[in-house]
Amino acid sequence: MEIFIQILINSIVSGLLLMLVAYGFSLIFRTNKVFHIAHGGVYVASVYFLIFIHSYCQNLFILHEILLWGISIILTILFVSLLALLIELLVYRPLYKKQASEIISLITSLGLYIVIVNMIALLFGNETQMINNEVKESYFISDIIITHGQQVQFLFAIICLLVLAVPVNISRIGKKLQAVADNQEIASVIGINVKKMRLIAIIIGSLLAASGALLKAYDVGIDPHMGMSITLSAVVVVILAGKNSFWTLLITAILISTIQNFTEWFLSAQWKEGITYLILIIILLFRTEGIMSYKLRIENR
Amino acid sequence: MEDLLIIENLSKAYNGLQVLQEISFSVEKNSIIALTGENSTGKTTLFNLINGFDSHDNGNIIFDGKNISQWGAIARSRAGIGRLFQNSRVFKNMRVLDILLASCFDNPGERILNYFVNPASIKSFEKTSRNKAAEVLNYLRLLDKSQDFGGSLSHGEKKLLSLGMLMMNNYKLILLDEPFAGLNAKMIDKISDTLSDLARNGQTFIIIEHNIEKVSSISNQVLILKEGRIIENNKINNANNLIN
Amino acid sequence: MNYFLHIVILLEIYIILALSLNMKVGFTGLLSIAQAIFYGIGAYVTAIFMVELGSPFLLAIVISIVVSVFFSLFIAFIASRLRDLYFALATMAFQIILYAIIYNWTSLTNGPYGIAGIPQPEILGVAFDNLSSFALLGFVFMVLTILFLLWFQKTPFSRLLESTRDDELAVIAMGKNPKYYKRFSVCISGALAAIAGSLYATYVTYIDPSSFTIDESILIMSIVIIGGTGNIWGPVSGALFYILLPEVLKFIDIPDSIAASLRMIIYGFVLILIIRIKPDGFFGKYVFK
Repeated sequence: MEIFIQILINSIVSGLLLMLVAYGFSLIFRTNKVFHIAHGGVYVASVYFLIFIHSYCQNLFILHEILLWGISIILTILFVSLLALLIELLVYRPLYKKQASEIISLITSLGLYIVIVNMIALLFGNETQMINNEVKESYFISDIIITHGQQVQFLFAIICLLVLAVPVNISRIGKKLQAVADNQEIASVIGINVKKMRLIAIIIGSLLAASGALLKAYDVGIDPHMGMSITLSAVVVVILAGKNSFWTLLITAILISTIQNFTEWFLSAQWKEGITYLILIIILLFRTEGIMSYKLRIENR
Repeated sequence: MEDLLIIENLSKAYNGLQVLQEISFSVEKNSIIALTGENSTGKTTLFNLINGFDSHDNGNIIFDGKNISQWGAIARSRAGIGRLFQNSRVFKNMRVLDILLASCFDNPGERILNYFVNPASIKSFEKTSRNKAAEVLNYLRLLDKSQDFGGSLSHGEKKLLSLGMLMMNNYKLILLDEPFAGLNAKMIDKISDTLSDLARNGQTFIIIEHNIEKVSSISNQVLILKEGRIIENNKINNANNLIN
Repeated sequence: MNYFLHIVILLEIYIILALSLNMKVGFTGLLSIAQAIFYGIGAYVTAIFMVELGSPFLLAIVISIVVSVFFSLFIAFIASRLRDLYFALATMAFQIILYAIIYNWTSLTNGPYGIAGIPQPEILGVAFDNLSSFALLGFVFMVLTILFLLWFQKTPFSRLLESTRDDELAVIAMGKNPKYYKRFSVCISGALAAIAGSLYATYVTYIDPSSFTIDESILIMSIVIIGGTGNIWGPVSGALFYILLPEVLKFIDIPDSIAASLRMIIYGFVLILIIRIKPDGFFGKYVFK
């Protein structure tokens, strides 16, 4: 019994981290109409940048540890925003101008992913990086362990969701983003600045992914090639959830990570991805309504 | 004259919205039926039901003496129901000649086994269909375009080529969805000449057309659809119609 | 000289591989991101049959083609239900699932440790046990593939594949079944990829799952997109570009440690640029939309 509760707790924590990435992906996918595989590149890049800037600042000035981390994190937020800005302006906006299809955007994003990941490998090598190397005390309830890392992840994931995702859901900007997601032409006709909304979406989406990545790296570390698998898990969440509601996404993210953790426990870690994508392929193939329906396509063409 | 197509009490609803209600009419062999009515009264839906792109909820479709209600679009096409789409569906990345050759029925080259068992049949079929394609292209005055890509043709040429694709096979009934829309006067003449030639050869047409005067001048029966029902079904003995 | 032959052999394998994916992407318009799996199936089946059962090379190739064609039917099933983005996504999922199977089915594939000691091919008593003879063998397979495709391009059948690619609904209206053509092209594609895999396994004599990851699938896809699709010289030029790019980089004296990453960075940039500026690739015929 304990083991179930333990796995469930682990799943809630990792589900929150997955939610950060998935919400960002969903925001970008719907607003920018880009199947943003390079999300995984941004995910990884944020961690490497934080570690780099932290050690750089450490050598530059003598500061209190917390202040040092604070500065590094602020610089990382700036870096991720800048990266997202460049991606949108240099890569995705030309696609938008050309009204390129989703498949073209997918190929472009794959190309971008290759560039980012290999850039990181070139600069920092392929080794796993961790943010926090100390072992801190865990919290016990009878046999159930909640590690220090998990406590931090849980707390900060909720803070990040509250700061980044919730405002997008309820504010006026959120309504505008939704309008752009529904129909870019209509949105621009009723006076919404579509280009600006696209920028906002990709920046917030990337920051969400970055926060997920930093929290992940705080506990288990990260290597340049991890971005792909987390992005694909996020894709599964977004497709399975089907609609862009905060709660549906959150529940789906926790559900997927529960399935992954149980798979890991009862089979092996290597089956984790296989099982996740089995779910995806079954949903894609047998969901009858919505975008995939053959009959609907005939009517639309 | 005997009826080629009989539609009995055909109904279709999408998401609870009744698009077609209890449609009944029949089409004589070798006639031209004009189907007209305001926008979104179910004309194109009716075509989708007749050629099998969509299935109807109630009623029967009898074609050439057989009840084809349960048949799929592929079987109906092979039984002899051809269709000209409103926005021409020519293959964009193929050459005009190849498009015509691809549309032939019963090409032995469609079956892999024939390449091993009977390659000669493929060769001879290829030869006859090439001759036929050349004839069709010559008739449509598209011979000089035979090596152009389908996507590079003008709107009118695409319509002509689509007609050519239908001419490669002997369809008994051809459904034409606004064949004259968006064309200049010269092209309209060319296409209506082509249609009248085909009609003389014994083909039957159903034409969707908005302009009632234009259709009544070329057809011998006019159906007017409104809100999913046939509100008028007039047979005309028109001295000007295409057949005469 | 040995190094040159090594490059030649890699080139031959990648040309077959690129041509195999081109059957899906170029002839039928199916952007599949799972080609590394069929390549892997070819390599693994060949390795297992030659190492465990001691079967001759040609028999192993035939069996790997059969197995690969069988798994291709899954792709055909996906293609009959999904299009465009969702098809690509489902093939990615298929790639990851089959990779997990290869990785975890240790009793058959030896999991992450891979299969070593794959014997070099021998056909009718002629052993291809040195680089130059293997290069010759690869060349024969490559030329056979190209000749087959040159012939195939002219058949009435290939016209129907192309019409399926351009407009499925119009094919149905012509009284033909697009599913049949998709199934066929996917199977041919799987068979060719299996041949490339067999050659690879017997060439390197040791295989492990890391050669058949989703990254490899993305790479094969980009080779075809960069080179161009819908004909033969497009994918061939893509493979040439991919294999020869690091050789060009050698001239500008870059240390090996960063050359691999640099190659992929350049490659990613070229992919992004080509799809924007020249979407039909270097020498392609079909513009992927």
